Amino acid sequence: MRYTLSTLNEETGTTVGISGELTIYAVSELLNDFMDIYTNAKQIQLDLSEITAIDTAGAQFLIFLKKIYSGENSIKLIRHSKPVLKIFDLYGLTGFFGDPLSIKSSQRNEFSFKYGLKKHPERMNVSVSAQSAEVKDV
Amino acid sequence: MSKKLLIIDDSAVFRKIVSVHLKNAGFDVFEAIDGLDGLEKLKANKFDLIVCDINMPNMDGITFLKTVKQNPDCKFTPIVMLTTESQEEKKREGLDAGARAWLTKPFSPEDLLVTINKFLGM
Repeated sequence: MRYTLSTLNEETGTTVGISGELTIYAVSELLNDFMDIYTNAKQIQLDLSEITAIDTAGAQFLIFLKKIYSGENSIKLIRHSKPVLKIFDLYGLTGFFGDPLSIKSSQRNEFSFKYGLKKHPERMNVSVSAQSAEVKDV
Repeated sequence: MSKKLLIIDDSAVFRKIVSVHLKNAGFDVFEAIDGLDGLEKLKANKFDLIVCDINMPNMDGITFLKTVKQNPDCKFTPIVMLTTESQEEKKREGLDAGARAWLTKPFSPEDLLVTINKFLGM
């Protein structure tokens, strides 16, 4: 098993954590698992903090989820891990997803988000903090 | 009647993702696992448009494209390349061989639909 899914049902919606590798080998199974388990879930928060590796297929999976869970069944990406931030930066996906990103100040110079931060921080929806955003663990 | 589309990609993940997006948009979708399989599907069906990957085993996307363009039965079928390949040289080769558009992975579902609808006159 290259990944695990964990769920925390809250009053405000469902928080789903994916941990492990979000690569082409895992996405094949994950696609089916995710759609089976969360078909009727609304207002999903997808915790990406435990993703250790992600490739193009993984990024496409997140794009797929964002498109499928739109409108009433929205999905929000939270607590992006460093590999996730790296691939968002590489493919310029921040604007597509539109979810807030939080980057540690010590890692700021590793991302080209910094140019957007300098010019249009409000448009980039990226914040830099000394520590990662505090979100309940799942 | 739904427009009939063929998706050619050796990755089951990308076939499935593209397929779901296109089915949700109302298209009748067929799948092939590489260029050779794509040619087989073309023998049995007439498609309105083909979405094709580049790097695949057995027959790659460029070879498939060139082969299709020599076939009088389907040489006018629009082919959209959908690939991780973003090298300008490869892109030029594909467009010169007759590809109508070149989209790179990861792709925006909206961009794919807009591109397909444009070539289908929708």
